[in-house]
Amino acid sequence: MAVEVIMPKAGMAMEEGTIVKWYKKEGDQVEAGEALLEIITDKVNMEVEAEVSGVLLKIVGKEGQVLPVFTPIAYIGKEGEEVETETTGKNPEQPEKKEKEELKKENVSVSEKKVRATPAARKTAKESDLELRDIKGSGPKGRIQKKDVLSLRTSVNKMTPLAEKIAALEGVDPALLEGSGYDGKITKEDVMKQIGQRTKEKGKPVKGKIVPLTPMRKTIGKRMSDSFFTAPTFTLNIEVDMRKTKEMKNTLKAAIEEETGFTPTITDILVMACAKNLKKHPAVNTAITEEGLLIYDDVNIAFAVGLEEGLFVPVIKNADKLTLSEIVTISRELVSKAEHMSLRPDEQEGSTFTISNLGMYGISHFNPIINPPNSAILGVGAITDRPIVRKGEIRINPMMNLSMTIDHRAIDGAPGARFMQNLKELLEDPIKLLT
Amino acid sequence: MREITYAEAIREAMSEEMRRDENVFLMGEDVGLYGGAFGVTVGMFEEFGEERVRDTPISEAVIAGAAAGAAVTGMRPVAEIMFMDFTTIAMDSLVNQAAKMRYMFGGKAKVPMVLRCPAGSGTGAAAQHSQSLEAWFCHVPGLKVVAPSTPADAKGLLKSAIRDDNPVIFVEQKLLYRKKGIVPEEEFIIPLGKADIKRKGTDVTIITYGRMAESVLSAAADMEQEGISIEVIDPRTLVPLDRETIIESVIKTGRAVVVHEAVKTGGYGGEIVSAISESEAFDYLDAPVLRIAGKDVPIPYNPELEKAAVPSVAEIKEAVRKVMNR
Repeated sequence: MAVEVIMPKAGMAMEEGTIVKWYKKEGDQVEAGEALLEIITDKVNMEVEAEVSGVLLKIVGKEGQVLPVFTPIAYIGKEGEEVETETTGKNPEQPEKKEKEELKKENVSVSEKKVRATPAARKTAKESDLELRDIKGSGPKGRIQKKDVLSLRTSVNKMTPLAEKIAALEGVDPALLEGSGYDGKITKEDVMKQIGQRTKEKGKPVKGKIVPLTPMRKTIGKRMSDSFFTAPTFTLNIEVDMRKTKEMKNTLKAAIEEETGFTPTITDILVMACAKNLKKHPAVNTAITEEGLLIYDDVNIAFAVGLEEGLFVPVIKNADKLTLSEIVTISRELVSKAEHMSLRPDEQEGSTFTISNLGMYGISHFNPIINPPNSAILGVGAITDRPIVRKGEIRINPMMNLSMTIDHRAIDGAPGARFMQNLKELLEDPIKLLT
Repeated sequence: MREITYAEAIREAMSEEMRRDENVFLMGEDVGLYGGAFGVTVGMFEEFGEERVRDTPISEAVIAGAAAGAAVTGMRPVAEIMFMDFTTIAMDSLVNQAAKMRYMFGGKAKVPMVLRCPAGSGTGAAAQHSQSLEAWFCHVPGLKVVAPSTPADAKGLLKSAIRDDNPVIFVEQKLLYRKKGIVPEEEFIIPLGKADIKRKGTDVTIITYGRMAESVLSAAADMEQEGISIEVIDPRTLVPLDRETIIESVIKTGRAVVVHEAVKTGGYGGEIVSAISESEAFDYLDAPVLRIAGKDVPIPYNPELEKAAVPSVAEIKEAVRKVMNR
């Protein structure tokens, strides 16, 4: 009996993968553990290995095809064995379809479990295209009342007064709009987008070529949109005198180079300072979850690595427990893996706070977008010599802007500001990092 | 505006119609010289004479049979059954004759009679003199059933009932006779089959008729303090029933309670609830529709038990809280 090769699920969030390249062709002898093909997930490229030895009897997943996880993509068996699969002689798309149908059936059987809901709740849910089983009932024995549906629906269809007015003036049906504001509120931008689309449909198309979005691009897009349109954010800016930190970095340079083989960077020191400061300010080391505010025990700091291929955000786990040398070593390893596209999914998951440094491009300051599920992200600007006033005298010191974007659902202004204030103190007097 | 009692309003309606149409006459036990067991016809014997205000033997079968016969031969009798409980004795004439004739003669016969029925509990008259049997008549096609809750409604509806060419059962709850209310001095009629919204509200619709309307309105006033806005609808006429007004209100509020004094099982409340759930209003219901009605027992003689056998304001409030999930 032939053994299926399936699209693997390489990480909790992976739902589909793209077949990049088959290393083997039908009829090839393969050994258990041998790489059969390369796939790309929304995060990484990876190889799929044969789980058994035998002959690659049939390949059903074609290069370039995007397939849901667990879909059979090939079969391995004995020489000359017939592949007894649903796919024999059929379009390889079909197993996928069938699986989806089965999935649907399962869903139906779930929904057929009786939901307690009043007729009014049922009608309202139907009108609003909401599934009753997604709604929590507030009535006796969990009975779903009309108001339960309404409260969900209003959160779906809320509009700002301005958006409402523009929509009415321009004859835009709010039902067609997707709200991008807080709690799914439809904003002016959403309405304008719809109007823009309408005009686009009417007018001549503007020339250009379309580059299909890579899975990574899609993921970045989705995560950033989710973050940007869900979290009500504000940004705190602070100017830091980096003279002493720079001095410290130069002092430690030789020792760390000798120990690790790498030169320490300002980002490394920032990771250390943030980790220390997050321990002191647990309110910033949080995530908004459905159950409530999650205050992390660990301090795992993600840092953004921008490459041609896209944006990677590897995570330095338990950064608060690491020495500067350890931070330097781990971060260089992660960057190198990112450059070689070999970051494992687990090396990009589990962050509790994120640092994004664009200083090397001369950016003075910027508003980063929160990396969910974090509640805050620190944007780091360039260090430039600037005149500052110290004790009534003008001096020229290396100055740096820090900007922290904060999810106001999790963190208020004052705690955020205290975090920034203490971070500034740590960086202006880095000997305090030793405390 | 002047205030008069429910009994006075009924007397006015009958007197006005008798002055207007010589075919209208009264009959019943002691309605003549004595002025009626509850004093409703006081003074009418003097004004209209014994020909038009006729005392009958103590036989409900005779009263109903004679009324049906007089009606079908062109008179407009207004007959009184002193206690609605004894309509049981009049049933054959009402159900098999009065209700059927217009249909069985292809519309050629008319039966323009009114049967006034003092009804209900609260007078310490025990099980055989306290019943509310309106549902019995609602079940018979060909009969119209009216149960007004205020003096003005009683007057306007009785005048319509007298002018109607079909037999009308006119239910007058005995405890209402002494209740006063504003009744216009100028002539007016209220058409049969038209409900009245006694109080506007947005959260719960209570459908009620007869004497329970007062209890419901008092509960509604109390519950306004709790932030619950109750709409009170009095259909006034049970047959034909103004479904539209009820359904429209329930669509608005999404919650309904039906209140009547008559016993719950087989009561007219079931008909109203069915009318709601069969209608468009079903999709708007946000709670089960409740009935608050008389207990399924004969009305007890003991005054405390008698009170307990029919819906109280507290029971009505409790039902409202229940449909509001409070």
